[in-house]
Amino acid sequence: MATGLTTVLQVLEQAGFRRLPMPVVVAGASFDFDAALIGTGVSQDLIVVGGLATDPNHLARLLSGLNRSLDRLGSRRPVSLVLLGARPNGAYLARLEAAARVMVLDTSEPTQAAVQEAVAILLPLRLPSAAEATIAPLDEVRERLSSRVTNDHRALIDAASSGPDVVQEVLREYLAAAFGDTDRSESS
Amino acid sequence: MAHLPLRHISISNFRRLAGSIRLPLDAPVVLIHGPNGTGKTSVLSAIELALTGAVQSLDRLDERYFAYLPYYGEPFAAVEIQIADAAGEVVSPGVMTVGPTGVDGAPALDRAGRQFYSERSYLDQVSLGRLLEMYQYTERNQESSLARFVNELLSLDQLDALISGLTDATDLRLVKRLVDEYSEAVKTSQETQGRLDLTVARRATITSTLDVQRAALNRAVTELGLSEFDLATPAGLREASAIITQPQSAGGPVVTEDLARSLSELRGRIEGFATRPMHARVEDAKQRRESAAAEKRAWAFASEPGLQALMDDAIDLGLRVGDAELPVYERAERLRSTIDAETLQVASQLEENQRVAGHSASVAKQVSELTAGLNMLDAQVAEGEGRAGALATGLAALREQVRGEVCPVCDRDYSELSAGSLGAHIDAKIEELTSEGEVLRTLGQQRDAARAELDAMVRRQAELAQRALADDQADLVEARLEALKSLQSRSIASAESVAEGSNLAEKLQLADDEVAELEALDLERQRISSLLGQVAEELETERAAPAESMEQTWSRLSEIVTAALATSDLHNDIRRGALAHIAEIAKLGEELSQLTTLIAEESERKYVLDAQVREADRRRDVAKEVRAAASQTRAAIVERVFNDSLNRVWKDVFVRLAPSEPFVPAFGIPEAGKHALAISLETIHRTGGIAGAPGTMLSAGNLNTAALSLFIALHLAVEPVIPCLVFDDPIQSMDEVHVAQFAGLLRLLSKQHGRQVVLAVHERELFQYLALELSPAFEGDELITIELEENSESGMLVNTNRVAWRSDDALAV
Repeated sequence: MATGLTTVLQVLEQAGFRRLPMPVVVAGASFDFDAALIGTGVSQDLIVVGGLATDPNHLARLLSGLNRSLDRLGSRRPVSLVLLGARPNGAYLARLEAAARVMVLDTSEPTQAAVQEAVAILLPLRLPSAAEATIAPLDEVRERLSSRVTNDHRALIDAASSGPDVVQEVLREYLAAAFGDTDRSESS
Repeated sequence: MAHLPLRHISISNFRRLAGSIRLPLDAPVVLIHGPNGTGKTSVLSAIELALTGAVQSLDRLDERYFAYLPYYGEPFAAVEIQIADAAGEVVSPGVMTVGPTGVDGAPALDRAGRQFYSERSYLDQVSLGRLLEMYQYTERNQESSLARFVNELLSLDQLDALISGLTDATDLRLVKRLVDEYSEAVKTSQETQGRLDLTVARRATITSTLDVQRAALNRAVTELGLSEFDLATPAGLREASAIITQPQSAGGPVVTEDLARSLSELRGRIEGFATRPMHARVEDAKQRRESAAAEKRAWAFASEPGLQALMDDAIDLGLRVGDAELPVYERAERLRSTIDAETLQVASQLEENQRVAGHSASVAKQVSELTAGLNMLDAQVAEGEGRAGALATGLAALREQVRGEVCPVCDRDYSELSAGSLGAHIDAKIEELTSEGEVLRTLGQQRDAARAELDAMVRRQAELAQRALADDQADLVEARLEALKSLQSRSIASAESVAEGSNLAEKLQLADDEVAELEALDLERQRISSLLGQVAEELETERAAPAESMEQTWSRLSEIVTAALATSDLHNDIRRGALAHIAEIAKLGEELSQLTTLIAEESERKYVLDAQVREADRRRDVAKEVRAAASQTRAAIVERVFNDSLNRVWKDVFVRLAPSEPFVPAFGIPEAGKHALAISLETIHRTGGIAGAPGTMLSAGNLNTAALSLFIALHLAVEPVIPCLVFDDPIQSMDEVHVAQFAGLLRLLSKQHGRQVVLAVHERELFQYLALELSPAFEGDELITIELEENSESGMLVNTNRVAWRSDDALAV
């Protein structure tokens, strides 16, 4: 198997797509793409991989045939084509796009990242984790001070939730206390 | 099944929608189709109004848009929505009506939900083309909505408060301005240091002055011939002072003031002595005294027996002869006057006696005459009294017994006499007798006077008789007078001898006095000599040289004293100087001690102040650490939020929609230190380089895609308050590739990320394509399609279709 195809399959299989045995058979008709995968879980995308075959018209015919067969069976599976090889010319690409969502790799040997980018629309979005967003900024300040943090540090940080004026007043009292109470030992 | 916040909407006479329709919305994907003008946008506006109470796109155009919301010609429009709350409970706020006067009824969402729906969930058709512009639009220095969102996302308020509140700690001037105690302590510390420097300098000066004073004192001590003292302690100074104060013999005699005064006094006595008689004259005086005494003894032998006899005779005559202690001549002298006085007295006594005798004879004759007169008066009175008195008394008694004219005595009737009444007769008789009484009284008085004169004369006679000497006594007195006269003549005869005795006694007295005075002078000389000797002894020199007069001795001693005093004065000067040094050393020592104490106190004060300032600086460091940590955290959060939450999601969405666009829009990452975040948009080439703003780098189509993807990215950047996305025909200007990509994205949002998707499109083919792309993909997944058609008869035709999931067996797998 060509390495480009292997890379594509790896990426899609990692994303939860299941590889179908070739050729794909729909309503008795066989469609011999380079590879085919279907979504699992909440996805029922049908992804076919093509472009390795020499005849471009053949790929276009396969796609439209596949569509017709699926329509005949009332299937609602959206069809996407991952196209290995160089970006085809506009007219040809338009023919392909009329039949399916086309994801052009523009190379026969794409990197994994290139494949991921090309098929991104089929992959879940990477949203910021809720945990990441919910770390309280002041906790992060305490964490950043880590072992150096003392009650003195904490008292200043605690004042932050009451606004800058309160922080300034706490700072003033904290500094002023150095002059009122000479016996005060350093807190820890 | 995913959470579906929108469930149903009922719409009456709202905008383009005539009459009433009820539309189901309770599916993960709702596709609304209708040709332009059939009311797709009206449906979405109705949903917005029901949820939020406003239609923002219209509000931006005309704030009185309410008036135009009812279907043309209708007074009111009404909407009623059913939604599911966060717990999945289906709720409805009831019917909301809207008319020219405004909206009546409660929106379905709370404040946070309304804001989220308006800004993050619903993208109306009008806004899409202006989205980037709207996001960045600012008015009157207010944050742009994008900046506001980003700041909310960053939630930097507390960090900014911390950083801002601790800013003063970073700058010493600010610290001093903030904390009065700090600036005060630094100032006081500097002042204390200044005083300390002055005090230390002063102490050095005093120490060197002390050295000079001590050296001078030691010189003086040496000059006084004393050993050096310990001058370091007050006790040593007191001892030195005591020793120096004592008079010291510096080799010569010690001349005290008493000694000098004694010698000075002796000079007067010696001078007084020089004018006195010489010693040799004493013997002459004694000689004279002896001869005077001899003369006196001779007189006594010759004269004293006669004088003694005279005195004895005088004693016999009862005369006083004076004290036996007195010298004889003096007693004899006094006796003479006693004899003279006694003689005179006795003679006068005799004369008096003769005079009394003459008086007595005359008085006796007068007594005799007075007695005779008195006797005659007595006889006259007795006769008168015998006569008148008894009769008058008897008549008076009788008168009381008369009761008529018959006489009680003679019982005769008086009336017969025709001489008046008997009573009147008696009264006249009594009257007659009474006038005779007056004569009697006068006689009585004469007799009393004669008797008194007689009595006085008798007393005088007795007195004279008493004074008169008896005859024998008179003889004795005369004899005494004779004896006295004899004595008198003897006394007169001895007068010369008495005078001589007196003279001799006086002469002897003078001689005695002279001898006594001369002996006293001799004693004085001896005393002076003795005193000079004592002085000489004290001066440790010889008492008196042979043949040296007292004046010479005195002069010699005086010279020694003067010389000694001169030496003493010199030493006194040195001593005074030394004492002055001691006083100065004591004073300087005291001051030195005070300065040392002061230096200790000031040093302590400064130490405390410096310690306080150090502690305050330590605290500043704590504050600075906190501030630095806050700044770092802030920078980290900004970077994280911009890179991870915003730019990554935006890029993720954008590249799905425009896979072939090399420039990806992004937020410029603001400088971490700045408080007010300046939000800027830029593009990043897929190779990593930063390029210009989206507006300058992207085609119009991709600029739209950038806006749409930003809208979706912002929706995804936060936890969704309302997990739904509502789009009003966002695909109008997309080419086919974009449409396919957008459909894929919606599928992801719905099926992978649980967002309810409501989408209105006007193109039929596109509607059909999307219906296929978004068709249910798993058990429970659902799609609702709503088709709006204008019908001239009923006004509005609504075709609603609910598509459920079914197993897809087209692929033999």
